[in-house]
Amino acid sequence: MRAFLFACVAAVLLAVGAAYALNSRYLPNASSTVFSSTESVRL
Amino acid sequence: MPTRASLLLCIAVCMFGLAAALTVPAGGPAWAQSVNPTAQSVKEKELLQELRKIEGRSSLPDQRTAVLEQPDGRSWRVFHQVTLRWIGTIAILGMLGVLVLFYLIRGMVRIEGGRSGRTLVRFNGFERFVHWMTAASFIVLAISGLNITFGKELLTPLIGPVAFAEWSQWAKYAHNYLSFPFTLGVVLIFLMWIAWNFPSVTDFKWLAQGGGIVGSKHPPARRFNAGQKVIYWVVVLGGGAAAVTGYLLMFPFYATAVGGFTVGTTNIAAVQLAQMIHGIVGLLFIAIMLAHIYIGTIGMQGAFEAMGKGEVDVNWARQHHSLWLDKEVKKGRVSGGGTPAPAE
Repeated sequence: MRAFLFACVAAVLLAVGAAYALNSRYLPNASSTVFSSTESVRL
Repeated sequence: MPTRASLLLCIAVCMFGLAAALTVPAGGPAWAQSVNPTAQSVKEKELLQELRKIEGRSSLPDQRTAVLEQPDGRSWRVFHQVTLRWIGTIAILGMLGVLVLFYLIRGMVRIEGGRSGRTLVRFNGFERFVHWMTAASFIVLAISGLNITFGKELLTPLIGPVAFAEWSQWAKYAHNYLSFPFTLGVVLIFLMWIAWNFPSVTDFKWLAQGGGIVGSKHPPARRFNAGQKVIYWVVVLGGGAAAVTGYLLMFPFYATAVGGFTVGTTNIAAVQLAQMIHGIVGLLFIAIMLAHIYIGTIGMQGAFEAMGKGEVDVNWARQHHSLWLDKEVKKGRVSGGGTPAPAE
């Protein structure tokens, strides 16, 4: 069941990586769409 | 002295005045009649019928704030609060009921003749890794997705609104972010197994004989039988549809520009449509995966080993994938002893 354990770890790492990327300066507009639909329009 | 003519004129004027007074509707003075409280709403109704929404003017940069009325929103609310729950309840509980009934009647499909002691590789490490990454993500997505549709009604009475809100917030984050490994898994599954999943004549013969699960015959099958091919396409197409509509919901300010919708602003109708498709596909996906999990665990002896350790018993392969076994035997990929007898 090593494949299962690796798969779970990979899934978590990918999810955390996506969370980091979407909430960092790399994709600033995307982060606001994930968290709130009212913050995406920047003045 | 009034003449007869002037008298007649006075009577005529009085009669006319009386007639005019009678023609005025009852209910108050004339100024009150100039204000009709329903007139404006009638106009709005006509506007809604024509435009499907009423927009005002807004000084905010986001022009969606100018949408004042959008009656389709009520239809959408009824869908996700009533219709979608019925679809999910019938699909999931119906599938569970069918599986329980099937298990009680048919029981576990056992390896006829028992285990041979010889095994062959069914799925390599990478295939199992991709399968389990997709499966693990899917389970969390399914639970957190069901929470969106059923959680408020089912969980709030049990754990209270505060705990439900906290749980739902984390479930929503998990749902959003685990979509990425899930989508990657669906793409890899599509690429990894597409060569074995095109329909063939063998599949129709397999289906005609109930796949060996219904009945006692075990029709020949290649590496993937017709049932597994159905699961494959459900994952690829259903997972693809869930991913596309899910990302439409996650990134509405970008994605609704796709397909001719207004660029740069959110098309509410497109988002509502995406949510409806996402909900229906997700719930049906869960129901079908229940059948997949059943047949891969308690429904069939030896099936779980294929995705567990990656190897299956030769007798299992002969019973369920005889054409595939023949090829593997010719390639010398069977371990644990001499060459097994060719599959029938």
